[in-house]
Amino acid sequence: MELWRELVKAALLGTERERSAPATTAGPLGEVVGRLNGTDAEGRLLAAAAVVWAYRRAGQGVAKADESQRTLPAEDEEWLRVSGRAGAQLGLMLGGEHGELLGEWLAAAASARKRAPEEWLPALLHAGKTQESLRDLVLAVAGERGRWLGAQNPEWGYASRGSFDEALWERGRLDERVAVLREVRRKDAGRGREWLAGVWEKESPDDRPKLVGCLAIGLGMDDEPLLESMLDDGRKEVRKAAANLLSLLAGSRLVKRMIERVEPLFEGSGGKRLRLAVKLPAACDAGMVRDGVERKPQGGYGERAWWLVQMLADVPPGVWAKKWGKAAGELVAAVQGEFAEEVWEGWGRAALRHRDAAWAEPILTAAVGRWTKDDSPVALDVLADLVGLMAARRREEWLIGLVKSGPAQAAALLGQSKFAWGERLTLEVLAYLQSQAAKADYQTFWRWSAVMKQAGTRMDPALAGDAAAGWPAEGKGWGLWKSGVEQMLAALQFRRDMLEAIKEA
Amino acid sequence: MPGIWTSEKILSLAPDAASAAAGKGLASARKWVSLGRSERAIWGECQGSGAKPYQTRIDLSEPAFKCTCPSRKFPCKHGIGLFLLADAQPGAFKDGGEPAWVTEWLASRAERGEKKAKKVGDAAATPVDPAAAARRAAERRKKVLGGIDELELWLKDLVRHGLAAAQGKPYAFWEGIAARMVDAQAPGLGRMLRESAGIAATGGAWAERLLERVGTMYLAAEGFRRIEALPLEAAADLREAIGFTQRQEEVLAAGTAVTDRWLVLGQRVEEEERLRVQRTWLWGGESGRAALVLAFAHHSQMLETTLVPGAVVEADLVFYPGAWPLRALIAERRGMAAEIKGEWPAALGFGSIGAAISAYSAAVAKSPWIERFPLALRGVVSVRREGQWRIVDEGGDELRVMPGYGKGWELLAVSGGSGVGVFGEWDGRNLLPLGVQAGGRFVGF
Repeated sequence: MELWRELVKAALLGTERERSAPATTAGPLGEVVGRLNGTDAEGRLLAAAAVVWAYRRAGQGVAKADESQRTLPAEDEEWLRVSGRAGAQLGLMLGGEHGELLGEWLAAAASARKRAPEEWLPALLHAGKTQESLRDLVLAVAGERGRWLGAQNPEWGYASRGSFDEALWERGRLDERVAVLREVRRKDAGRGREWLAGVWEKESPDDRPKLVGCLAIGLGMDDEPLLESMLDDGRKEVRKAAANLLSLLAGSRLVKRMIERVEPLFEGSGGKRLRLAVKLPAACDAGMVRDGVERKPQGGYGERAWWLVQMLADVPPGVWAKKWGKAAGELVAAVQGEFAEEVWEGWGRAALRHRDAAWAEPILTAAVGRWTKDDSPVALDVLADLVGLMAARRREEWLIGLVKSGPAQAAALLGQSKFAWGERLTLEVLAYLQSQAAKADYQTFWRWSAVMKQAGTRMDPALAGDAAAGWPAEGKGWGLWKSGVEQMLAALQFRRDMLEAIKEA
Repeated sequence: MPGIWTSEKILSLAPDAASAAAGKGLASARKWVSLGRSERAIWGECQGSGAKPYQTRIDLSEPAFKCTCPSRKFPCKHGIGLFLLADAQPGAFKDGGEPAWVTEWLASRAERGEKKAKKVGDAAATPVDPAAAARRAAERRKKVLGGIDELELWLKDLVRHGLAAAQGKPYAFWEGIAARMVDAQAPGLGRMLRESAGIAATGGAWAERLLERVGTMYLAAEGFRRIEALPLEAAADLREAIGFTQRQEEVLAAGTAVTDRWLVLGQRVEEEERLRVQRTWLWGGESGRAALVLAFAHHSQMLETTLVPGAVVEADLVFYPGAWPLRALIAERRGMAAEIKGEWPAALGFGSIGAAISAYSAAVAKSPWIERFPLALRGVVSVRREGQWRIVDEGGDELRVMPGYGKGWELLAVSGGSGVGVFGEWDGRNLLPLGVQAGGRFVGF
């Protein structure tokens, strides 16, 4: 509107410079403005501005939307939405409170076939973007709406269902090409391998490490020749990744070479009651380096001991059982001499790599036997993972026994546990903690305070009610333990509430 | 317990962070000797440091708290803890059988409510001292008139030198005159001046928006000089814009109550000069009227939070006088708040953006001081174009969402591309969405 624009211009410049006659217009508005008989130019301008602004505000029109790109509505959902209470708890976790329980919430919701409330989808899709391990669960629980939303925000592209644009393999950015290759490997591993082999020579050294990683999906012996050729790549990360994948393939040439290298280092004696002595490798030759052995030791090992551990870790432990005709337990017991602990560690790593649970308990039991004060004879993370590898029922038994016989070792292992504790183990640990919580024993407290941080998220949530009872009410010791115990109980209670809320309608 | 009270909302009742943390610590069944609930209340006994457990009770209708602990904080940590526990573990509470210490308290609350209503009636019937009141009013008027003289001179100076010159001025340039208006007992004008300082600092069509503001203040100033000549409603609007407050008792006594099932559709808290102002928007499901309930609190004080977005409250509201009455007081609540379920009642909101904007036009034509207008739109979708959120109705008309709106993706997620109900504040340019009604569910932002 012309009049308004003139008023703005006059006000902007100031009446002392803009001395033109007061703006006016035809019609009733003009009449009103014309009647504003202020004594000075400023008053007239201000009054006109007020009147014209009110006129404009009261008479404003409505804009038409650009309908050219209207999005189709989201599809109907298959799953029901979780209850309002469960949704509010999800919101708390996405906001950071009890955030470590998000994975458990998602898994419970997915298995109950319930989806997240729509208002939390943006935060949830963001969590899936930053934590790849949660993605599958996020997608399940986000439902149709999540897919629909993902298609509209490039940040959440992983959630979009749109069929994969395979042309991206040819011309996409690295992360897009990796995504396409992973998807193709998932559907047809051979096709993915051929894709990669076809362009490998032309790929830049910087892109190669990420592309090799895609072969982990659907890995099989058919990939062996390609991976073997990658051991001669110019890039260390590529060689390392290829060696790592080859060590997972029991029939690979790399594994055969490792067996050939390690076998001569063992010397068996004693016939029926086998005793095994081990020698350390004399050197780390170029062939070993090509197969991914690192020359420089880690974690306090001597050089040669470290080479042995790495090579043993690549050999499926079943090889040794077959060679000596003995079960895992007998072999672990048969290892003698000063390098026994290195052999256990190598076997332990191999058992984890090849998911061979038979070795877990013998190695753990042997390690517990040689534990000195707070130092474990085998790397603690390896031992903790071996506990996780044990069959659930046996694991419970073993840990319950350990809490009784060696609570210090039990604390070290439980502090790193990644598995859910069953009812009996939960009760055993609670009983132990309660027996200690009245005493002011700092060493025991420190040892277990790390466990308590974990315990609330691992214990059986059905016991949240029982867990709350039986603690000392006061005392010197309790002052030390109180806050750790309460945090543990709060996490346990939150899990119980959250699992219960997911079940409710 | 009604599902409207989530733990987040319960924690917002806590008077300070320490009480919230302590309340969380008490939200565990093992801290309580007994826990119970009935239709209208929850209660529990909490073992404190004393020999006798503290008796904590919550009247769910508001909610209101009462505890026997010696804490001066309100609600105390026991109240917060008990409320949180009722949300997290409803199963821990035994149903029915209100103990006497709960029943008696509820009865005494009801009695006090009646007395208060009677007092309001009495207060209105007998004004304190008519002569003294008239004297005070005359003094105030004189002070405001003095302020207005100054403001007019200042505004004229402003447009004489030009708004362009004002753009470079420091905040103190605006703050000085704003403080003067507060001294002159015209805090409403002071607030407008402070907001103007912000407009000058923004880009875009700042000069236009600043002129609107400046013109509006001039209009208020000129209007006040001849306020006796204005119709009663217009005069009431103007007095409120300038910053005259009306005693709640007077409003309650003078107005007629509108009884309805009010849907709580949105809530915003803004800081104004050490004061927090909370706007809560209600919409009557039967009357089809929108209402604004304001609450104020200084920093340390707790804001009245008994109106929770997503709730339906059966209550008598009394509107402040005005040409387009929006602001209201709750005269009486009837029964417990429930959750908004299903779809909005037919009387609530507008079926098209055109109809909504017409209502807005009619309102501002009558009452030019309206700054934020409640819009409830049915059957709209949210759309993002060129990084800007918009609300589009079935006819293809659109409204722009406030630039920088932080919940755009959430709004899109809830709407899912199908027509939903959206409630928000309309300032004449942009909509600030505060809630969505979709699939039988209300989601507040």
